[in-house]
Amino acid sequence: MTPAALNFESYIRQLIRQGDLDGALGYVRFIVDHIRHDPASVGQTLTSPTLDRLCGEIGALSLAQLRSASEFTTLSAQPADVIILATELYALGGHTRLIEDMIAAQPGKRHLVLLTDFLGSGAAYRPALDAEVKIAQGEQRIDKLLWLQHELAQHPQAQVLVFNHHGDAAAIAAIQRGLNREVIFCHHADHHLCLGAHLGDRIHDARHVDFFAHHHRHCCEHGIPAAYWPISVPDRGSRSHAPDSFLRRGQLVTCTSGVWTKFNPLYPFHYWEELPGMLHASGGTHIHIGDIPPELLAAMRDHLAANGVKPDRLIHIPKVTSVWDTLLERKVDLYIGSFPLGGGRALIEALGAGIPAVVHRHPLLDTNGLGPADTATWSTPEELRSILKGATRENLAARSQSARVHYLQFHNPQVFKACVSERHVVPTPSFVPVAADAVSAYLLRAACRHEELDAVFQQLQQRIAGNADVLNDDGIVASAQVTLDEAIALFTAGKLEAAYTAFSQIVERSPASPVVLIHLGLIAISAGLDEDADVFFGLAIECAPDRASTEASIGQQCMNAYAPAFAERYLAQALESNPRLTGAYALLTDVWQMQGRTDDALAALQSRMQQSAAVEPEILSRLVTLARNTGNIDVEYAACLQARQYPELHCRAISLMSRRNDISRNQLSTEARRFASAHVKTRATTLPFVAHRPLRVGFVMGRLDNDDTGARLESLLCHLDPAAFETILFFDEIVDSPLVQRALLVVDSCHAISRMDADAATSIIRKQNIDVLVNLQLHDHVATLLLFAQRLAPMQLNWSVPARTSALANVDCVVCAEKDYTANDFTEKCLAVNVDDTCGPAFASAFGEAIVSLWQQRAGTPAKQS
Amino acid sequence: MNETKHPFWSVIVCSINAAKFAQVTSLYERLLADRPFEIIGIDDATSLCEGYNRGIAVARGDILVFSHDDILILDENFADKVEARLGDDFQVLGFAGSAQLTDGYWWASGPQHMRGAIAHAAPGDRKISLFVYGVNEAHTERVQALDGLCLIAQRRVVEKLRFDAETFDGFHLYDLDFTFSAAQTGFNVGAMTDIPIIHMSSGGFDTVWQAYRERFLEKHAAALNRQPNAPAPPPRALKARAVEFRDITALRAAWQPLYLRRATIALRRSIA
Repeated sequence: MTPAALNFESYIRQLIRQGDLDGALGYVRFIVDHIRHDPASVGQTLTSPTLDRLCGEIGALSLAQLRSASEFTTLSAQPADVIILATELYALGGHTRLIEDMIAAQPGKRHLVLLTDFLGSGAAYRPALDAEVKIAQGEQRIDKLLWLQHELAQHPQAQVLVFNHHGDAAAIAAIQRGLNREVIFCHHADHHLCLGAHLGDRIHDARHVDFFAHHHRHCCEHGIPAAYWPISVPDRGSRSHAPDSFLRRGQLVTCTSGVWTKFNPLYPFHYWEELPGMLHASGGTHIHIGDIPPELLAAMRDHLAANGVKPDRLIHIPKVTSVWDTLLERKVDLYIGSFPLGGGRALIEALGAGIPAVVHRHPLLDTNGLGPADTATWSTPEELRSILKGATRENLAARSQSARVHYLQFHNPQVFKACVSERHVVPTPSFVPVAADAVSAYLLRAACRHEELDAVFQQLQQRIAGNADVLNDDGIVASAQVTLDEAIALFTAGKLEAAYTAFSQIVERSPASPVVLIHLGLIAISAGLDEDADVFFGLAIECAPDRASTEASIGQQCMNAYAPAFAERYLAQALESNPRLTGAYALLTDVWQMQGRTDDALAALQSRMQQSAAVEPEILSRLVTLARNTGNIDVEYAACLQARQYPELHCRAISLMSRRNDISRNQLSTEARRFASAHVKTRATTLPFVAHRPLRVGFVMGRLDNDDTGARLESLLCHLDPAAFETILFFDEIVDSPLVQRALLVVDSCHAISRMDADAATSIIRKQNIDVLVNLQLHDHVATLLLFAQRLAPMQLNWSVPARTSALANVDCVVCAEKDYTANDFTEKCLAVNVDDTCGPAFASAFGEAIVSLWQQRAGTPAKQS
Repeated sequence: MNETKHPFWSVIVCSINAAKFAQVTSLYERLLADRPFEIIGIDDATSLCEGYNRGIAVARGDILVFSHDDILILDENFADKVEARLGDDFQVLGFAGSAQLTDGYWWASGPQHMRGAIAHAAPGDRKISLFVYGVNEAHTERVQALDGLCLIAQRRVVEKLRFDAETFDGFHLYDLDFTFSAAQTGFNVGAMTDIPIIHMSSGGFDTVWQAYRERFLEKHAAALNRQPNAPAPPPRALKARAVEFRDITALRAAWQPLYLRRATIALRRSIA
């Protein structure tokens, strides 16, 4: 480090005065890199107002240069609405996915991605984005800055989202007052010094956004007015929270995920070293998702063997399309966050999937709020081992549920979208403050600086020295035996040449492996070698124990590979071999739909339904979906009636019945009773009546739309006396419309319960301490109905029309709003509100009075008024 | 037919953007079509206080409007409503503010004391966001200070009080200072909640704002009941009820007392 670094500000100013803007940009980067690579700076030195100010001065001078050029004033013929300013895009980590989320959060806007290529890597990674992408021209740093400002100036009305790499001085220098309509600094850098956090100091209106609660807290504590847009991951469904779904084989399945740079900073201990102890403690298997250099992976396996752990208890998956899906597919019981540096996005995927998480407490990093309050945290390896040893079905199940709830509250895409569109401000999660100990932090910093390579790394070095040429371009270890998992992972990742080599190696060892032969056939299809594909598939069928199943499997995989002709041929073959293969039949109709032959598919599905003695779920679900999508109501109705054993379809049948002229109310009521007795096993229960405030009325909606139900809801929300009622809305899905927006404006609070399992939705509703729960949709939405059949509130009301009864346990009352009917028409207690307009204020008023009266009857005490 | 004699209006706009100035001029020409009015454009203001004071010096109006150039008022009865309310009831009007000012920004004392509603739509944005801060029963609510996107004052106010160009020599806190000073002087200041207005930009805190905030706190320390030179706490986030609409028709449909009042109750309950 040069002495000038001690006085970097004046040194950089000197360069600026000399007109050496390129040198000044380079020196800013030098300082950032120097600090960033010092492990003792992690979590400590995150922003620098001085460096940001210097960038601003450099950029002001370059802009002045540019303004003297005549072409500067040219405006783009295709003005961008949003410019994403990044250094480059990355195949690994969450950076590029966050950019994708940003683009998706503002659909309909024209996005332009400007890459500075400030690090000179060539910005070669180019994923498919819904945006135009441009890369900075020029060799020198100042060339890149001038190019960037020239581009930005062409879009004065654009909103600029800044996603720079830590030391990208050009990106920060380029941002100048008045150049663009709005600037938002997206503080995505993990734990390290990053330029740009203080952009707001010099750019009026520039905003600073953090994506993680602990970053947001850090910035606020350092005087940066920051907004919090919690990072989101698309909801791909949760695992079961039932205790018996954990530790399925009596063994704990753990998982970590992340690029290996998260695991390898200098630190008192390392993942690689701790793995044997972790596996001893868990007694199960451990999955690692993410690239690990092959030589390191081999060293890890050696280390496991040397410590008495079978190496195959570590399963390595180099790359996956979705961490979330992989966690669910692999039935992971416990997710261990990467350490010592935590990875945000993967942890959120785990929480969303309902996987309990364990997070490392780094002495220099504030990781509070990274998960729900009951997230287990550990500091020393002994603590981690203790957590693993102490994992039980019950504690995993409890934390699974809170993980999922945390995801839905903070990291659901709807929340992120609302933040981006500035619809609402998200509070940072509550957390228990942990007092930092300055001495332990100092000792850790000192230890980091003086750490020597540990045994694993020495072993690693020896291995590298002994096998200098083990790596090839595709990351295959030529001298080692490739496993089937690794070969499939290469295939899944689209590295077909490497996958071909890997499968070929395996087939030499095991020539009669259908799985390998099928994959070789699929690779042949991708290469356009159809005849070779048939040869591989033929060999796979010959050596498989079950011919028909293998043919069906080939058909399915060909369909997944978008090879419908192959798929149709092999599925047909499978059905010839075994006509009872329902799955193959169903897949064949999928192939026809893929080919646009919907009539053939519908006829085939109907025919199969009629011929089968018992309902075949795979056929039925396809028939119902296809009938609905093609508007064939009669076919859908018939299919739903035939499939009463499925609650969704039975419910749909009742809903369709209510719209038919040939069905009487008595028939409808009979069907409602049949539904209740078949699908709702809950017994009537009670909850205590506690009216300690305005009555809390909860409305459970499947789909909130601009329809009659939406209008009824809006009216109730507006006209129920706020002194007597507080309104809470639970919805599965929202269809954007003025009516829906007005409802969201006036409701006291709303909670998404979309795609939740019943337990999680029940938990959310119960937490709200609802007094009166109202279902306005009757049989239109089965999930609502089944939720409603639980006792979630002391008093529960169901909209009555058109059946004479809900026939459900725990429905205390039906609402009768039709003048033709009287209370005697209903089995349940009837709350008769006989007014002309069920969407008007008179109805809401009558409804409110009736609720209060009913509440008083049942509770025995009047509802208190606020 | 009786012809009503309307007061003379002076609209003062500081703008460096010709397109925006033309747009806002057209807005006021429409809103004041049947009244005597003048529009005074200041395109070289060194600060908003300086610009507005220069406008006041040449203004002939009985009613003076100090307007941003990036607003849109959606009520054809704007002029009638303002004239009816200016007089003994109110002498200064605006659209959002605080009924109890405690700091250098009007939402500092929280939702219980915030008044008004404003829609925001960034240029080129296809959505309009309605922010409800606080709407009670009255269409105009008594406040101590107002946001400066559009301020309306009777002439007698500016005869007694000018914008403080010496203290606020930039583009921040001129509004809060002027309206708070008016309230302190004894004028009635009000936020109108029944006139839909769209602001086509957004504000933010920066270090420049912070510096003016400190000046404001120093100037009004006694009125704000603060210790002189007491450190200012970090600014709190603006809490509002907000939803998005795709068009002005939808916005107007929601800008009704019933919805705004109910949204206010929900906002205050959520904070409580």
